[in-house]
Amino acid sequence: MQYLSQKDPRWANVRIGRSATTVAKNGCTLTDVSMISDFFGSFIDPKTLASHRELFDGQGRMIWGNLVAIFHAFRFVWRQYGENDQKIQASLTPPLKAVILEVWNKKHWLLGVRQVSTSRGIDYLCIDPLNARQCFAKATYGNVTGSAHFEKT
Amino acid sequence: MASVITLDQIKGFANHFEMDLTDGTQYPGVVGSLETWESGRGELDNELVNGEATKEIFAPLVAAHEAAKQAASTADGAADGQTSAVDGKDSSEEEKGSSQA
Repeated sequence: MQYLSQKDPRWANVRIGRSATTVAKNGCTLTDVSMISDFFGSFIDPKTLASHRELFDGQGRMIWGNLVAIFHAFRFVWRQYGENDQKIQASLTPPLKAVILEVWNKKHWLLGVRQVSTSRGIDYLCIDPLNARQCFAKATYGNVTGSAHFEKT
Repeated sequence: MASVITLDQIKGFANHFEMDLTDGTQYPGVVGSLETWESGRGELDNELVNGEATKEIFAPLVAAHEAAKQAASTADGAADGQTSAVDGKDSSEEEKGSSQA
């Protein structure tokens, strides 16, 4: 699976849907979904994904339920509010499932890779779409405030 | 700009969170986490960066973090990825929300 950055010059300045915001500024979720699409073998890059107006509201926020119109290899299953380690762990089971984690007091989304144990308890190794690098979700951002779950169709 | 991340910081981070660096699998995540902090994002772990034994080691990283945060807020009012992070929560049907960051 490709590690993608929302700041990649190929799409950094592309506007998200009909909104005024750009992939570089607010495209973490769509960049995560783009990586998931590669993971499930139906890759759509962030530039193309951002052009799907039906996938975003006027502020550039992804409308989960509309992903089904674009992707057929996988589907959005569930949006969890708050940290639910059991559900996250259940979705960290490639190649059938994937999960993205909401972190940093709801300010950012990471693509989950695997669960790890740390001195602070459970944490998650993730791919950060801000720099296309791995990081530990809670050690780096302080908390997990939610998650979105996907599965292969 | 040159990175201020050092091997001592990598070891200090791994030791603090009890992450094993011996087989190499955790190393990229540790470095990536420090890079995130260096770029002014995320939440610095106070016990780590201000601990008696680690404060000096992490001082350059804390300075870089604060400088990057300041530069980002000066540039456009918010650092990349931090703006308008309102989630389209639907209180009646959780799974139909929307999201952005």
